[in-house]
Amino acid sequence: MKAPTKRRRAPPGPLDYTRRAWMRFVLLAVFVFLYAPLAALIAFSFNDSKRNIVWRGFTTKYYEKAAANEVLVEAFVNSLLIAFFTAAVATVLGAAAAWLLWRYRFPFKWVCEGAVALPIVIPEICMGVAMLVFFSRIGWPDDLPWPLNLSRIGIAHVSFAFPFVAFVVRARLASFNRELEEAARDLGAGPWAALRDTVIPHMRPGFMAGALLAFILSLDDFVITFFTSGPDTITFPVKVYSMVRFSVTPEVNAASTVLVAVTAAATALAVGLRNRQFREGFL
Amino acid sequence: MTAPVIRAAGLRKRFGTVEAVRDVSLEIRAGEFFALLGPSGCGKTTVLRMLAGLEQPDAGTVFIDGRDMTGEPPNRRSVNMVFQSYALFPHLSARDNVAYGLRASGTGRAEARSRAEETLELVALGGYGGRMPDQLSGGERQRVALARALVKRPRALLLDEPLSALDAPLREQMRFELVRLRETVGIAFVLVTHDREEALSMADRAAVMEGGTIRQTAPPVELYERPADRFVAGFIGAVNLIAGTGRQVGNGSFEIDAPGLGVRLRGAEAPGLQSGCAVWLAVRPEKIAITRPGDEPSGAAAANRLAGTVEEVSYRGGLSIYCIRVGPSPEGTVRVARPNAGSALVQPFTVGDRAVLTWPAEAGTVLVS
Amino acid sequence: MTAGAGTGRRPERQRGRRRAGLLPGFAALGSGLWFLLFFLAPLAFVWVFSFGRQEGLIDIELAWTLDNYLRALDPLYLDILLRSIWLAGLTAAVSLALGLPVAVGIAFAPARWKPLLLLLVVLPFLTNLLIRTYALIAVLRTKGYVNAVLGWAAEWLGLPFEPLPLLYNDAAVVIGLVYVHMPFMILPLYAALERMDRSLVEAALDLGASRARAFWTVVVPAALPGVFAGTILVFVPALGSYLTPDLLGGADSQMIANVIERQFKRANDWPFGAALSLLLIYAAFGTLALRPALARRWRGPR
Repeated sequence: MKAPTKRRRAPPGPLDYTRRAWMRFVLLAVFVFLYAPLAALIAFSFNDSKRNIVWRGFTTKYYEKAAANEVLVEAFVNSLLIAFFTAAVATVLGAAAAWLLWRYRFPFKWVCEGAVALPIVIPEICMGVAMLVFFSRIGWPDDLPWPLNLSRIGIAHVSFAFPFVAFVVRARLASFNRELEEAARDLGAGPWAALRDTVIPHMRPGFMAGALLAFILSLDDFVITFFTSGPDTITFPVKVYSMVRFSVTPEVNAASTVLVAVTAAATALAVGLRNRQFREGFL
Repeated sequence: MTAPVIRAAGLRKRFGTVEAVRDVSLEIRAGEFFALLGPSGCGKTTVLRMLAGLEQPDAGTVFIDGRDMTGEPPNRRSVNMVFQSYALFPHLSARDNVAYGLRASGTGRAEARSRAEETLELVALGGYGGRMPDQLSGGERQRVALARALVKRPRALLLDEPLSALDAPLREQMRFELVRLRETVGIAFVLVTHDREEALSMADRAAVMEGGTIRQTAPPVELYERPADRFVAGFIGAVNLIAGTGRQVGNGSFEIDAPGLGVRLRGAEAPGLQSGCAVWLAVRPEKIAITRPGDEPSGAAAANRLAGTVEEVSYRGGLSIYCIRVGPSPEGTVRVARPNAGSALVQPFTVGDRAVLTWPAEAGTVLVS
Repeated sequence: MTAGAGTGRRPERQRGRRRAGLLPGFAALGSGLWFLLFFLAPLAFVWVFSFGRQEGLIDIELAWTLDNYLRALDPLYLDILLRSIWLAGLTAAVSLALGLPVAVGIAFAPARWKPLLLLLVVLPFLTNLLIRTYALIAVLRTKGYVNAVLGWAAEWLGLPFEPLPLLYNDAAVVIGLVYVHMPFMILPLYAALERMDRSLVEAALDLGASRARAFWTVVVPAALPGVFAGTILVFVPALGSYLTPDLLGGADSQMIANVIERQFKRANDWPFGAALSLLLIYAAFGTLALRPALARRWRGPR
């Protein structure tokens, strides 16, 4: 008989698919596929060489060059401005729509619910085309002073971003215990006070997540912007697109890295907020 | 005695910082109904999963039919499991669920199907083969899970809390059916449960687990009448524990000085007892007779005698529970269960009454831990 | 959106009803009007134009003709339409082949690793589409990283090396589309696997199935709803993608969206572009409608 207490280095259990070698290889390969191009893009924005892909030393000169490019900076400011506008308006509209669809029953509600999902499922190119046709046919003025000349892009962004906000807020509302609102009413609060004291505090994490999502969607959008921007209203992605069409340059790398950093910061903020809410028992 | 079907020696398992199982050894004999009983988190399910091969022990060995199967994966072990959630494959019909194990071990499609149908009939589900799991009731799903495990003709059937998902009347019925089924198929059943009634009513032997170790392995009667320690005594049923110092008096009994009560009590002698050690006398509430002062029995039936005041009366239908204060300390109360043989409309004792409690020496067990 | 809200059927008819009555009204008016004006109206314009006829440079005559739709059947455009479907389908298939092991790997990973791994899947998706596509150009172009690595390897082995034409062809488009849409495949697959009762796999192993058999007979069927969802969620946006074929594709790897763009920005045939847009929308809806049907068929008894 063998020794009754033989020690083992825990072998993979029956469910440890993740500990199989081939599985780890595929996981690694896919993550390399997802991240290597972006990592290379960021790394070579600091490479002291214009064409060569060999590392020639660290430099920030392409960032300086990009910062000196007035059109690029203007496009960047425009993008940020539109993203903030979109986040603000889309959050209000999306939260309102989500709350209505959650709170009330009314005729043809299913039509409304389906309609809200439309901007999410309609191909971007079609929305871009629709916006182009709409603004040109109703004669939306395109000679407005800055920043009003960005209104076309802002409106288009709100239109496609607010259903996403509505979904996020609706998902949050689903976890609301309606008895809380009824308890507030029972304790003497009016309908508005009950809403303010129970429902809206519960929705708050949804507002934050929705606003950040709208911000990122707006900042990232190229296709719809491409159809709503004019020669004087250039956003960052549109400007980068025109640069990319010509060549791969470290300057574009540097500009792209800045945008990636902004998106990453917004995402980190979202994740950080959610973790804090977890700790405070919000979720 | 026949060789054990399953023998586990020195099993240990740690999950992170939690030692789920520490040094568990057990033997399951051919054809017996064995229960692993314990509160949730005591490690009983982990032991069962180590027997099935779904969990690898950190130390220790598992023998099935005398062969060391410790490192073997579950698909090479001749034991089968009924899962707590039943784990029926949702995309397969009842028949295909039952046939799955046969197909996996290379049985032809036609034979697998006919044997699946036979086994479904064994669990009284003949004609249900075409149903999908979500078209079956909880009890029917349970039977399919049983059939699926039994069709492989395992050496032992492992059941993980199989009745916990059923409602009370069905659970009662399934207890009888499980016992009957075990007699029909004649293999060992290993049942994991936290329900002491389930273990007491079904098992030939049961192991009581707590904190990752087995406290006592014995037939149900012995667990109830002669528990090994205070945990087993309390887990198996309601019990009065009276602390004191023990003294050997010979002729099979043992004397306890209970300082809180100022009396001397007698209990059945148990191995390992020594004069002068701290002990507890465990007495089940229904073994104590409650009488009015002066009416108490005499002789051996009154080897132990305590007098006190009724502090609380709790009516439970078939019986009433009396709390009697017999000493000044907070622990100085004794619970007595008395069947309501006559009319319970007139309770023989009410709060504030004086009462005398008596019980024979062999009704109590002396515990050292 | 109809502004028919505010008719709360709950006991709301006491004091303060008027103040509360205003809020749903404002909410409905705001979100409903915006949706009507800046979403449905633009789509309606496209729909109406798709039946029109281009007259001169700007004028469009509302002829209520089906010519624009019939023109899509022209071999030239039908070819592009079919290739778009083929490329999008191929993208979905490749994403599935790569995404399934990843989803399984995440679903069965230790609990404390899961949030991180999921974040790693989602993170590139939050990065700008244009920048990700641009990053791929740098990897795939003639003087890109892949060719450079292959070149060094060939030099080291002493073999002759010609840079591979990795960019500006259908393969580059599919690589780009997979790169961009991968999270859409992995997340629903993961969700389906996460919902699966782990004891199903244990039961399969306990009943004598090998690990591989348990994978194919239990894990994969459990992932099927995720496979349907993921395939559709990758196929639909891939079908309508504009940027990827535009930047990575060659002259003959154009997709529908590129043709649409050309009608509006260069060829100046808005009615035809509008008709193609609507066909693309119908195709997207049609594909999305398949999902409940597939799911129902799968759930039912066989």
